[in-house]
Amino acid sequence: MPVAAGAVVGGWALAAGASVATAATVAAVTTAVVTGALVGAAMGAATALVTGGNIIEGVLKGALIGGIVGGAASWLSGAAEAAGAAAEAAATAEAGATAAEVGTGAATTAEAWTGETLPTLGADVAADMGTSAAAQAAEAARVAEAARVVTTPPTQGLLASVAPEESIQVQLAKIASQSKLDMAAANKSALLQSTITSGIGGVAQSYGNVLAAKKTAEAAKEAEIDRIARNQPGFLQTVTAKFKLPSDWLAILPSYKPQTGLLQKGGTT
Amino acid sequence: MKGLLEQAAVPGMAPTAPTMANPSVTPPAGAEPESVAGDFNQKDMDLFVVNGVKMIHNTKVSDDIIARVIKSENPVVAVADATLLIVGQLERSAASAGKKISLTTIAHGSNFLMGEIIASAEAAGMKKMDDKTKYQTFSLAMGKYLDEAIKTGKMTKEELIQMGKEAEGTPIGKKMAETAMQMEAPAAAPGASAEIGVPTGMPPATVPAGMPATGRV
Repeated sequence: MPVAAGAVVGGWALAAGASVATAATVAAVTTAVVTGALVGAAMGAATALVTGGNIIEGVLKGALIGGIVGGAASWLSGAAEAAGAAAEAAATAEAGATAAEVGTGAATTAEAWTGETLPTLGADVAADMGTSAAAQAAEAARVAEAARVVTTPPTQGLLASVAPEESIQVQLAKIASQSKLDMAAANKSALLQSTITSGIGGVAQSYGNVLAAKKTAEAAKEAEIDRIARNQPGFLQTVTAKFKLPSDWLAILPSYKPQTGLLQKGGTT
Repeated sequence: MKGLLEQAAVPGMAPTAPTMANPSVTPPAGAEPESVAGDFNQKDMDLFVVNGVKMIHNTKVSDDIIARVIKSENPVVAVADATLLIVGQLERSAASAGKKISLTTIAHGSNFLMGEIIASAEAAGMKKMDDKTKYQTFSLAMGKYLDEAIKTGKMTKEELIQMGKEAEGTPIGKKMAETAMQMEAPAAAPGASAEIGVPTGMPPATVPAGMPATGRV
């Protein structure tokens, strides 16, 4: 069984009661960069959604910029020169195969989701990896000290930084609320009509009215969301018209096919 | 409200928001609308990561995943898929146990699990991934996660749009907007577009308080 050193460290730390998150593993990328990537991903995905673009491509574009802002500029800026990482078609087919065939064993693993079992789990992980008790203790002490220094999660309030004008959240809440009111009114109207028009025909008609009202309300809601999103000073609505993904990023995009739209090369719609 | 899409002003300073060690500053429930991404929870991430590591090193899972990654012609896609496979399994496991883990927590935890998979694959012979490739892999996994979340209805369009706007309002989101505005406009030729570059004078993002500044902690 392949064993990663980082996991061993994590097991040791857990055995000593330290935090996995701050002592466990070799993370894929740094936390600062992760934060930038996540912010960019959220912005990119949302923009792609409302502009009818490819969500994954939107995420990649947002993450690319987010990574630069997050401190990864030195190696991300060279992305454009690193073209030709892999064959797209093979990658896409392979992705499906992996998802379909791997993981049957995962279901056999019993996970624990209570904090009380954490040290035990950590010890199990360490034991699975054949580490010695003395080495575990020494490493745990070292890691626990490191964890003590860097163990505080993010702090600042997210919504506190939103502009004072009516936020998207408030607007969306209003839409949802109005939509429910519309639906309630439509249902009430349809039911009233069914009581007036007695018989099966009347009931069928009222049912049709309900469905039609529901469809209309949903369409109106979608349109309103789209309008709001487009009217916001969205970052990617500008950005996506200004740059294209480097070719090595395009290579990892599943089933990428050039098409027109805000999220495409040139960005003209 | 706390969450993934945020950062502290000064790394290393005493925390001002709820933490595992300082729960007394927890704001009153319902004081603010609930964030789509949700709060970062250290304890949940610990559980998420340790369960994921345990899963990754389960003999069968490990053998399957690592073999797939190593044989893959595109390790970026293979590692992203493998990570999502583990994350999905963990989410289902947590849900069946009545445990709700925030998207913020899952994202940070997934970074560690992905690092674990990469390290395992490299130990088993995969060509070493550089930082840029790891970042591409993480980005692709995020994209696939959100795409799938919308397709399966796990997340609504409204929630994703809201999350994007929440992100845009964060300090780092504003920096990104500034970065975007500094990018060169498309070339004069119709259809031409600018390759992404690094704007001058852009400071690196601040590491969220308490989060490790490097991958290896």
